[in-house]
Amino acid sequence: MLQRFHRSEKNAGVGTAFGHADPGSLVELGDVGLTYPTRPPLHALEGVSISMQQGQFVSLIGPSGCGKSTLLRIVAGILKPTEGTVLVEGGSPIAAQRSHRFGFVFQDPVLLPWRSVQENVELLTELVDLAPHERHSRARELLELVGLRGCESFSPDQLSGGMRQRVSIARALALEPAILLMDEPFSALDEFQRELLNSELLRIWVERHCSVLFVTHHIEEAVFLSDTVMVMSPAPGRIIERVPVDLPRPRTDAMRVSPEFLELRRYLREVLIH
Amino acid sequence: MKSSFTDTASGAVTATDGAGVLSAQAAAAASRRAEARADIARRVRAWIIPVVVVLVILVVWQTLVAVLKLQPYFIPSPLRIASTFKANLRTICDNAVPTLAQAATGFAIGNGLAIIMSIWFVHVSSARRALYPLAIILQSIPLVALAPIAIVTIGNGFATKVVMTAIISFFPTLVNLMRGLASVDTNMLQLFQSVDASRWDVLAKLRWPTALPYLFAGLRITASASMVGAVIVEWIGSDTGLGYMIINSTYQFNTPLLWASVLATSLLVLAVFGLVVVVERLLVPWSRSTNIGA
Repeated sequence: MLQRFHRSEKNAGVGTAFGHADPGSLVELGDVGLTYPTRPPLHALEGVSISMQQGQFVSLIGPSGCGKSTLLRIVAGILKPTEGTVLVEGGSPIAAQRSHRFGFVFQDPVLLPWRSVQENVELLTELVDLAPHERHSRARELLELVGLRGCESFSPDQLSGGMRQRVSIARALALEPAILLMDEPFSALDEFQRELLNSELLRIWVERHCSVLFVTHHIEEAVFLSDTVMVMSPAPGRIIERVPVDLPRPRTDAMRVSPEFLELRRYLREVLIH
Repeated sequence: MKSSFTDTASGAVTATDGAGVLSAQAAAAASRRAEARADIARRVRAWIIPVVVVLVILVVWQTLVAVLKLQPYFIPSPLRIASTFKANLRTICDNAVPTLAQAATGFAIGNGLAIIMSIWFVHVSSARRALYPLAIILQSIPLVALAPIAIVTIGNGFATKVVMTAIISFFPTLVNLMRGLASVDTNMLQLFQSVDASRWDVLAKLRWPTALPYLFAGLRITASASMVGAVIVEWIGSDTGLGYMIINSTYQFNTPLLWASVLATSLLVLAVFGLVVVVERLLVPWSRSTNIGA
């Protein structure tokens, strides 16, 4: 019952209203740039063009300070670019935000310590005044999805870092977003937790039929998760390479040591270093 | 559902059904119990040393007074102070009531105003820019300097004392609460804004709970400060209260009673402080993990 907004219907409508937009296109960035009006002007992003399709898993990877998080915030409508155009489902990012098309997951899970796990997942549905029984059942369903059944009444400080990040993913999904915007969500976890949550995220992505725009500086993670890895240059951030990852799905942990995987990893490493 | 994973702090438990989650829950409960026991042991240890130190000081004091044959009007022995305290308990209680009453009234008014003002300041930046620097400057005026002015302008009654204790209670809470209300996580605020949350929701569901530990840091300071303030105002002009007792017994060279009044005052300050700490633990159970100003 969670999939109330049927995505293809919604997009068909958007596609006809904005005739020029590709109906399957979820995010379209055209020559996006961001310059801060400091002296001298600070160029954070320059000429970034991205086209992201419905259901895709796209990663942005680059050295720290290259503007990948900034780019994520531009897609989300939190920051306005100084040049170029941003379209989300054929409309403005602000409009997409208003209709709850985005789910946010940050590096820090930012859970409210005075709320239980269940109440944290319910936060956004509560703020948009969803009926209590509806938000309770949604939260329970999502906690089950992220593997936290039985932890509803726990307080966040009783959970490990990985479990907290699962809660934050469940919270992000509560308003049934079309696209998950994830800003280095697993970078505070150890390798073991990271790999576990990588697999979990892919399972959730498949089960919820959503799209993911994923910022990371971890090459292996980007390869394992993505359909396409966008490599960014140091500031001013530009997309210097689009690397399609044609590893079969579903991805398994065994693939992490397959020759194709290692070759992609080596290649990305080379692109990033040069 | 394919499988569920539960990662605990100690590692990962993989389960194909709910059993893993249940065992994780049991493990969490057990570790919480063990933690509670360790916590009690820690607290007992933390108490023993200061109690022993105080006892040693009292014994040395008592012995010195006896050996050196010090006169009670100079330095009374601890036992003498205790017996004076007991003999004058009625008077002490009678005088503690007005002191407590004015401290409590001033505490309530000062903190109430501080709460209202800080919420106003956080939401209306022009008000903050206009008034906050003024508040900081006013804070720097010492109370002892302000008290005579208040007595001259407002008079020598209950109102003056309440005004003084209110002023004392106002600033620490204002400063702390302003910081608390502004200390919300940027990402969290973005999350609220992403669903167009109303200012009221942001205040009630984010800013206020975030600021509660800061508010209590302010209340802890002002609870004792308002008592001390009440006593000081009673020195300057009053015919009742613990401050009056302190001054009066000094004039009468009744040193044991002076010490007994001082003892009563500190016991009251401790009690008031303890009350705030207890209320905080009840209302803000999560603040012990954040530990602001503690």
